[in-house]
Amino acid sequence: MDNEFRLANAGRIDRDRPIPFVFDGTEYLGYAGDTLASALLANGVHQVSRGVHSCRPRGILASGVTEPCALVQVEEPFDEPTLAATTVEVCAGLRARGLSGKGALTSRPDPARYDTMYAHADVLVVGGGPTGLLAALTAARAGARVMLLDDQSELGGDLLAETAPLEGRPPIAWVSGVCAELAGCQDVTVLPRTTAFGYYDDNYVVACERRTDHLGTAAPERTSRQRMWCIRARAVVLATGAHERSVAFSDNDRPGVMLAAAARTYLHRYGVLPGRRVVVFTTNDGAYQAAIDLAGAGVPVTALADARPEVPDDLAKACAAADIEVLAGHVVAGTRGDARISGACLAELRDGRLQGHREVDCDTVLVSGGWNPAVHLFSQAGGGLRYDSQLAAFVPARARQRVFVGGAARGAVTLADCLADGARIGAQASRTVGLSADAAPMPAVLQRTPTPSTALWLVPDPSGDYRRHYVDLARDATVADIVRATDAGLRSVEHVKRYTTVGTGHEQGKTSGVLATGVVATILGVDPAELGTTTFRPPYTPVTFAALAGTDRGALHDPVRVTALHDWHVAAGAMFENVGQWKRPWYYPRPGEDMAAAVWRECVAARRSVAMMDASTLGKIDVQGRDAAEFLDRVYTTMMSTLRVGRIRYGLMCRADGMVFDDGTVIRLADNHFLLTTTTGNAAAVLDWLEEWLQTEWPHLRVYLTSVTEHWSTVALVGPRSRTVLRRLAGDLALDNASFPFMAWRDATLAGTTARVCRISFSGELAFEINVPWRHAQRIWTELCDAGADLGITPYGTETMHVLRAEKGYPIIGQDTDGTVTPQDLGLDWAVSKKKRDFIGKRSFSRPDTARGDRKHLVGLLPVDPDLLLPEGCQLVADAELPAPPVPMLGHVTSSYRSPALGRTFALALVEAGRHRVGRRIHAVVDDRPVPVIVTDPVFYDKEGARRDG
Amino acid sequence: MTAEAASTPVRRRPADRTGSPLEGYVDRFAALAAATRGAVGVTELPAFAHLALRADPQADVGDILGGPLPPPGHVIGESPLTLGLGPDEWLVLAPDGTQTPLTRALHRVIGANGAVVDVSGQRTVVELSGPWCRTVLAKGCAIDLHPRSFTTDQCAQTLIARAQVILLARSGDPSALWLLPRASFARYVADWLLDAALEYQT
Repeated sequence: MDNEFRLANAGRIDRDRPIPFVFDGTEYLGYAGDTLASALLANGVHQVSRGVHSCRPRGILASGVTEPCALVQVEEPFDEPTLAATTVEVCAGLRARGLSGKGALTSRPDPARYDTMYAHADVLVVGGGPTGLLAALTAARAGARVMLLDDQSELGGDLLAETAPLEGRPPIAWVSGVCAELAGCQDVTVLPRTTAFGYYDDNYVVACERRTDHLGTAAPERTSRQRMWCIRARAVVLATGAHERSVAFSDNDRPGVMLAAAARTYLHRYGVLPGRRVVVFTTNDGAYQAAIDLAGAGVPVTALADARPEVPDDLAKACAAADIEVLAGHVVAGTRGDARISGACLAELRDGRLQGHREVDCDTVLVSGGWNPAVHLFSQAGGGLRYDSQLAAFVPARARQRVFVGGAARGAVTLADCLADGARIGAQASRTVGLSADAAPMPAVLQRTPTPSTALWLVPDPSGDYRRHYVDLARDATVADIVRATDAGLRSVEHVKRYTTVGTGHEQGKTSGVLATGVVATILGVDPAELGTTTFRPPYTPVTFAALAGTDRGALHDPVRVTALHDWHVAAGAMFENVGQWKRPWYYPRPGEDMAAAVWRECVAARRSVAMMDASTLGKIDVQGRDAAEFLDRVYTTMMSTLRVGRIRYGLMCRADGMVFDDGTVIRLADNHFLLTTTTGNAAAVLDWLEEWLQTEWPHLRVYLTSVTEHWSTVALVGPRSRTVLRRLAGDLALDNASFPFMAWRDATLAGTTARVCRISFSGELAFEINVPWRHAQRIWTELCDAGADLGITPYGTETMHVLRAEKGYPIIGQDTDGTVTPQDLGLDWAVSKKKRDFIGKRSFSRPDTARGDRKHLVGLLPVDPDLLLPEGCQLVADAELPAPPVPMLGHVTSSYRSPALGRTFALALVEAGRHRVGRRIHAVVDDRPVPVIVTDPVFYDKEGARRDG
Repeated sequence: MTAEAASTPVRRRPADRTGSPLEGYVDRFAALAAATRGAVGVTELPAFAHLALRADPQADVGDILGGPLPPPGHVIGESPLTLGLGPDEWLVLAPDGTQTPLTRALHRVIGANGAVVDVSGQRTVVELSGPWCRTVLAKGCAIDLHPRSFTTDQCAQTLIARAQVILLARSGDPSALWLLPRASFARYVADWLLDAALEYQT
């Protein structure tokens, strides 16, 4: 029968909104407001899963995030593994199955959206129970910017399962009143279904809001499914409540064993009876109300075993009135049954021994081993804990941040205390942020002084067999496992945790952590205060990676940087290469061309006629100031102060260790004004590097650096006919070698656009680099295309650029170097000034290591087989036969291409004492086979440099 | 710079977006404004002159910029508009075409004790408007955007999602914000904004 355990009227579920769902292949009916756990219990399903190692049947122990064993795999609306049934809201289209410990990730792409929201609050309140509500109300009335987070679908916390009147009304009416007032405040944000899971320095709290999970298949497409809230709060109120814990007794893991407060929640919040015949086992006052309420709902409570020798009078009387037998000084020693409890064994506990065993029939054992204040966030925030022996629990002690803890989270037991705490810390928090606050008036509530609980962690077993006294149901870890740990000499609870895996499950020991401390203390005969707790680390509850990633996935995973000419490249059919975050045209295949054919054609155009490339991604830094020349002398190995205005010089930068860091050109615009270029991928690193020296080492230098990378778009116009093309646009600008020599720059007007033209060549051919502001790039590019059309002007990409420069032996920093290469290794001694007193890296060139004769040098390689293209990265060895490992390596191939100019393949390589091997044969290991290659000078083409002037 | 140029309101010029970084986004921005019924508006503004200024904070540029150089995080003027980016660093926005006279004027005051750099192509200016625009921005911006906290004539250098931007609250329209991404990141920022505003479509 559907919902046979559901009461006709009780609970906060919406009976007008029935929701069918499927569990383990069977269809059931739940209602809006149900969790999967409450809906299963309503339908009489207690066994949800099996133990991960023991395979023993497991049911539903708890009602919220503390659930250790009722794990499910949600299959629809979208796969999600290892969720507690107590945290899954019943939703349209829900299909789930019970899980033995481990779920499975889906291979389906997740269609849902996820996002992030940054928020700032004067007072952040975590927990929407009585304490949190009153704290938030107090802060809101003081005019604070308040955020109130609660992990449940509606606010109220334990008041959702409370029946005692508040201000003479049902508690929920009071909750509704507070919520309505908060909703009317402009600067108050209330977020239900939001779990604060991380608390970091400077009151930075991270929370996950489940926005559409409860809507299932009806979730709106454009709303993010989950949202990460990153909250910076001036003050934080933690009203996180407390978690009930179990006691380790024999067979305490069977379906039907449930925490007492969870049973009360199922009864009052969901209108669900946990069973038909109940035994209660408690160490404190808390479980009495569950027993009385269940009896009131018509469920026979066979016995209430209170481990304390004395029972509070008022509770005893109330039980008597409800026809509940109270057994003082008694415990539940064990249970029997198969998939569900069929009975419990009661015994008297006297002087640490059991006596007077008595079997009773029942289908439910409600247990309360005490309450652990939910100190997780407080502890993450650096707060210290202390053991409270009255509560048998760890409570917050000193705080390190501006955080206030109240209610059950600090160990308050009664509702009156929780409410008083809320008003008090709400006002305190508001005052610390400079607001004058009065505590919101306390609602009238029944007062009762609780009696202390007893610290009972472990029910002794006469046979000494503790293999079925479960401590951690998520990990199937028992008292016997802990005994094995302590027998091995372990004393620290951190060590015991790692030895036994207690507290390492999906719920991170919310029901088992402190219990394990208590069990270890019992075994060792020490006070739990001496042992403390294990460390509370974020996340408080599991968080999906998708939520953490937010919008940083798919097309928005990482910024894609494009140049002003990107659309032209796309339209021209370019293939793109990622260079850092940039998209650069790699090559432009024509119909029917593969990469090799396209690159061949582009290379030929550049060497024989004219070609053009978008070089805008080069980093550009404007350098100004009285000491600009002096500064550049210090950061480049090259002398820059002697550069004349109007001219350009190649420059190398080294780190202090003398290794090449970056290279580029320096153009002198005026006496105190330069423009540098950097490699594409290193632009930001170079600017950081220069600023670091300026700001930390040489603050007395008057130098100002400004990135102008995007301001200038750069077109490289390359080839023997580049001058012809440029002349058609350049008006009266003289382009002959005498007027406009190599490594000079001129400001010009090209086709009506102001441009800076530099005679720089990265190919060895006559070439011009034309710089225009971003918005003029498309125009100048198309003007050049048109002007060179009759000459077959050819756009080329990075691959052709690489071939052309490699034919000339120009290294690419980062490809032909790896941070262990000096300028001398590259054969760039000429770019290292011998005249300058000092520059970054100079001192390292006098180290014996940088002067070794067997350092690796950049050399050329010509495979003996002229069609063989060596793989970049392949290793170089001396001989044709590979000796037994370890094989002595001479170096590796750094660049390798097919060269139209040479009519064959060639490569650049870093080779041990390479310059002394020029002309000799060594071997490259290709597919595990050494193939012969000849070591050459790295300059393959136009060694005399005749082509650069056209 | 000329008196006319200085007094031209920077917003009242024909929208010439030729070659601008978000030239191709005009239709998408218009569609967003329509779909959100004005709750979120995104517009790329026409070109400005952008000048990066490094100088002594006491430099006597009041006649050129309409007031003393503002401290970091503050903005003065309307046209030109000067943003305090650091203790000795400012960004000056002025009508397009005034780059050369404005650079010369500032250079005359600053000399070799600072720098004036034309960076007009470095960034573009995106205006965000509508009642939800700060909420959309808060999805990717960690600074406090509450109107009490980030208010008229304030600016900040911050991140929107994974791109660096300069953010600016102008006088006149208190709900609108200006966002200055670098030109190469402009499409990423635009795509991110369009995505972040999706849920406000009706």
